[in-house]
Amino acid sequence: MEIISEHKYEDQVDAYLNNTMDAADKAAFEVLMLEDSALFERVQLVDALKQGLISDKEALVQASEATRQSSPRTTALILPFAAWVRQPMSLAASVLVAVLGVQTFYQGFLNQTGRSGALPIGSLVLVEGTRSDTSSTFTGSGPYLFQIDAGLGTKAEAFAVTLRNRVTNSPVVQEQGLQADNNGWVRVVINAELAGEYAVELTWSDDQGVTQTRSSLVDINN
Amino acid sequence: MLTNSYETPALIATAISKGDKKAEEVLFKKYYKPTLYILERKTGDAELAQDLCQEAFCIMLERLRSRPLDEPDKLAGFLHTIAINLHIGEIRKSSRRKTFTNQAVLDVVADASQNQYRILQKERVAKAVRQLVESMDNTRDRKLLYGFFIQEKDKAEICDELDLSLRHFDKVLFRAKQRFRELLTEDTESSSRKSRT
Repeated sequence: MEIISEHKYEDQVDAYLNNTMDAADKAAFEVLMLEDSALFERVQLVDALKQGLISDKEALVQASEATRQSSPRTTALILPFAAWVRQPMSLAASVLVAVLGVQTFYQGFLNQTGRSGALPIGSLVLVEGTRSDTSSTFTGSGPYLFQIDAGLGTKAEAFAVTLRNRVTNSPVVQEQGLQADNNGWVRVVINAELAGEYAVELTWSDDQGVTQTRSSLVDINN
Repeated sequence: MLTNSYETPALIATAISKGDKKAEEVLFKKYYKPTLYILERKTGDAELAQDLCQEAFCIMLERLRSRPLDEPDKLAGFLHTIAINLHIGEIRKSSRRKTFTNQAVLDVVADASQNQYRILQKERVAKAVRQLVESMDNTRDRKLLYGFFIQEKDKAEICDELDLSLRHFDKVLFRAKQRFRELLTEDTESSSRKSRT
């Protein structure tokens, strides 16, 4: 264990030099100093340090500033937890951790309830225009991403996609207001389990306002 | 070095009363510097303090020579009282101080090399302080020294400002004093070696 007070009168030495003693204590201390040469030496030493610091106080202040400006990372400022928490960066970090925590919790909640906007695609169904009436066969489970060829350069304000069951001819899915990309692909996600043969109808209005329809057959196996 | 005959203040006082000249030298060697230091702190004037100190020792010596102290073990207290009274008298009336012509006493207390020694000591202190400050890479420790020694703030106030415990404060202060003493000692020893070679 480190000794942190070399002289038994250390506090009195500091009080004497800082003029915080009352007159009686001061007189008694001075008499003690006359009698005890070790105490006198200690007083002289601490006084020399004090006077030296006063004479060079600019250096003390400048050194502190220089340390702070030039090498902030070398300054180890160890704070108690309560003080550390009050630091601006600590507050910011705490807020960040809290936000991430809430976000993680909320995300987990969304995943559990299935209300997330993100949908993992199970299969890609590529529907290209053909001249034949034969079905294209696909094997895979849903959800399905239907990528339908509207034709390169085909432009319209909106496209509509209808998926009909070939046996019942009833629409399984109808999506409107779709857009084609620069390569003429219209994409639609169908979150349903499909099995069997389906007619995929792509409908849009051309420049003259005439309704255009392109139909393809797909056979989907799970 | 004090001999066994002058080991205690009472022995010194008694020996002087019996006309022992060696005891007078011991008295000066033991008490002159701290008395001068106290007076310098009170007057803030090195020359005036030296005058008052010499006068205090003259009064003390004449008193001891003429009549033994009732409580010789309180020699330091007696000297302190004389010095303080002279200082108070100086404040009241600076012209009151008179010049003593006891050459024997003046020869003992006069130290021609005192001023040179002070200058040298001041330089050493300044150098050691600079080294101490430069060696302190913790800004908070520097602020502690600044607050305590220069601003003369209360220890508790500094601890509160810097978020320190009192024990940590004592530790930092003690280390600074310790390091300062080491630096002074190293410098003194280095100077001694140079002067010998």
